[in-house]
Amino acid sequence: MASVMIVDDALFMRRMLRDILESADFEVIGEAENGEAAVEMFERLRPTLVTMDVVMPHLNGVEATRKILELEPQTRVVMVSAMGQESMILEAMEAGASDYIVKPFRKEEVVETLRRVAVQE
Amino acid sequence: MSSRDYFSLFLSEGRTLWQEAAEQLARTAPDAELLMRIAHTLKGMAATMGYADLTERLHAFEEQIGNAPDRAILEPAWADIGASLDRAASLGHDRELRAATAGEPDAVTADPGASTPLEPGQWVELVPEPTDPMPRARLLQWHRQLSSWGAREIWPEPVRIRSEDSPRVLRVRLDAEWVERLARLPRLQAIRAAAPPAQQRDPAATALKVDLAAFDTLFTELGELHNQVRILRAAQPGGADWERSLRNVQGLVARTLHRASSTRLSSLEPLIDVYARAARDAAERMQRQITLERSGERLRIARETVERLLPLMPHLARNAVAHGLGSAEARQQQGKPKAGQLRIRATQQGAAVRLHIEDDGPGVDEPHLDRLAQRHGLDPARLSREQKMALLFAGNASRRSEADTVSGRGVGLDAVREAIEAAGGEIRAHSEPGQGFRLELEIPVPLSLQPMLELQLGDAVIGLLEPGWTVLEKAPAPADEADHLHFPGLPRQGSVWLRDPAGRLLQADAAHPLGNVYLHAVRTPLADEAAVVGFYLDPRGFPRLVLNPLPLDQPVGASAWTAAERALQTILPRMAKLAPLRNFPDVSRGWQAWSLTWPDLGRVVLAVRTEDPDTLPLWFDFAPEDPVDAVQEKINWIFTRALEGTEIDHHTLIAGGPPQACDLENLERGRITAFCGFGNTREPAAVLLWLEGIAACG
Repeated sequence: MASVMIVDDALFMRRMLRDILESADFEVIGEAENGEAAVEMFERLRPTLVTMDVVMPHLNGVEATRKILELEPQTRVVMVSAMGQESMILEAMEAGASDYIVKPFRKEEVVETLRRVAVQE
Repeated sequence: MSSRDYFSLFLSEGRTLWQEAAEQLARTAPDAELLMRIAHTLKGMAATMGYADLTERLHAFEEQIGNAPDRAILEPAWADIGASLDRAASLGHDRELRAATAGEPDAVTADPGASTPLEPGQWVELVPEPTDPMPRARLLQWHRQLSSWGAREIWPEPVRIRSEDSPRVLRVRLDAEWVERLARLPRLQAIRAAAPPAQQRDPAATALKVDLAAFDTLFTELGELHNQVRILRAAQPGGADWERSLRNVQGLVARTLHRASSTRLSSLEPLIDVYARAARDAAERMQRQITLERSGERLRIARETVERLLPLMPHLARNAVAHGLGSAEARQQQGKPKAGQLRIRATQQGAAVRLHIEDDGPGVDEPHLDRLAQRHGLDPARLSREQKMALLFAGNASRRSEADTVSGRGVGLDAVREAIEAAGGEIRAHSEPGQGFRLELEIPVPLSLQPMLELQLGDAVIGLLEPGWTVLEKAPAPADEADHLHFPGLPRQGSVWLRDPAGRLLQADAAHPLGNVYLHAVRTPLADEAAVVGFYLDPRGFPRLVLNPLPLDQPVGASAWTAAERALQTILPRMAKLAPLRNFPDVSRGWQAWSLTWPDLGRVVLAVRTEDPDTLPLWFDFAPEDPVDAVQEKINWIFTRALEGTEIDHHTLIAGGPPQACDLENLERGRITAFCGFGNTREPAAVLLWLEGIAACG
């Protein structure tokens, strides 16, 4: 199954996403707690999929997405955001993010979205 | 992890975050960005746990930081949020977590393609699920997916999708190559047959809002015009009634024309008013001193552009006052006046109105631009200063809480750019560090739509673009001559006085508003002469220059009129070089010729006319793509034939230069008795011929 990196500044969210993804047979190969760490970790691990929080310290999710897609345009980045950040989600989509999930999310929603973008041509 | 584990993790991490923000709020200058981030992270966690009330409170808290980070409001709100967290703790773990871990499915959505048979070539409308929280982001995603499949006809464009008022559906023309794949688009609720977008254009783009009272008056005037024409037909030609009716008709036509154009056009006055008011309000609130200079408010542009720009002006004014003036100390050090200087002024230049919005503050320095580039994910080292400046219009790349000088500068500029580009115009920013900031909005509008005055000054007649002149007819000569606006080289013996917006006076023999004349904007490079904006023909066919003494691109604080006078001093002596042509020896029967020859441009415009009324004017339009040499040759050819008085027919007329759009079908033989050229030989526009001896035409 596809490899995933989880980016979120809350441990709580990272843990929940990890559990959801692992239960659906995704291979979670790394967790980063801010945008800068995410880019740095991405360079080392090169996951196929990234779940990306939007509001984070040290480089926000939109900028981190831009950098990651510059490094590897084939990466599927799925934005994960609470309500109220629509303009940043729009920016992220323009920057090349593949999809987005809004908190609170359902387990199925996360799994379906990641499965879909993983096979997207 | 069990739901109990999630709950404990939520509580411990949530309380740590809460504590961090509480400490921040206790400081004299809390870090708004950090507060925003904590609130947002906690909000995501609370939403995932299913705590609707806590989520709501955190959302309101975020909004409050964005609007005004006031500690007096934020501190009690944060205490309430802490109490909500405590309540959650006391309720225990089994209450919530329904959102993420339960995983109950939504109601089954209908098969998106079921109701519509999908035929290639057909237009369809794609509708996102109503529960999709960010439909615009969804449409962007679909747009990209469809493009990657090879779809070319998709509506609206991504840039339109971003705007708040865009429709929440996507239209696409189906193609056999990928129609099967449509159902794979995520969160697609329905596919409906739709009309092609051209037939369903945004009505705002093609419709016009008209003031009903103005519209009704228009009808009344047209009715009156109808009556006057009847009286005219019944009256004895040349008699007193006939003369009176004719004058009435002329007046009515002029008024009706003005009223009709007012429905389409608006003066810049509301924009400049709102800017000035907002700047003064902001200065008062921020306790800063400003002086504000304004001009050109009577120039007109399309009404819808004014309406689109209106709500954006307060942004620009506040930005200028907050970020565009510099600190009092910095101003003093740089020898700038204590009060910050703001200027908003409009000028007509060629076929466009330019609105300049300027300040004399610190400008935008390089480190700020570098950070701006970085926020857009660009490497500043690879960008020129202009490229980085262009990012000011690229939309907000920063978070709301990062309202520092750079993002503050950029707030609203993307919306201004959209409004200007929708009007077919351009927007530019100019700034050198320490030298102020200037925004330049260029809005295309034909010169002939602007209010004009025709002035008789001794032998010379000029058109004057009317930037707020008042005509004081037969006014007594003012005592203080020094205050007069001198038009050098022109005799000033007349008795009509005009007052410019600065209160200075100009004396002329006659002045009257110019209505219904064909005005032709001067093209580059002649347009570089700041004060010359165009040409027109007076009712007898004489070519006239149009001047706009409001100068362009001068530093803030300098006198507008000094520069205008300087420009006129440069131009008028050049005009004097035309004299030799006036009595050209080969020219008989009262010909007059006026050639505006700028030494550095070669022969620019040629204008020759005769008093002979039995001539027929014909237009020759030169297209911009016509080769310059050929056009010059054509003008020379016309000029030579005109002076020789040689007979021509339409074949030779056409053969004399590049093919023309002029209707010469019925010309058998004729003689060029006069012609007038607009534009110049580098960028020609049109030539008007007076032809004599025409067998039949039209």
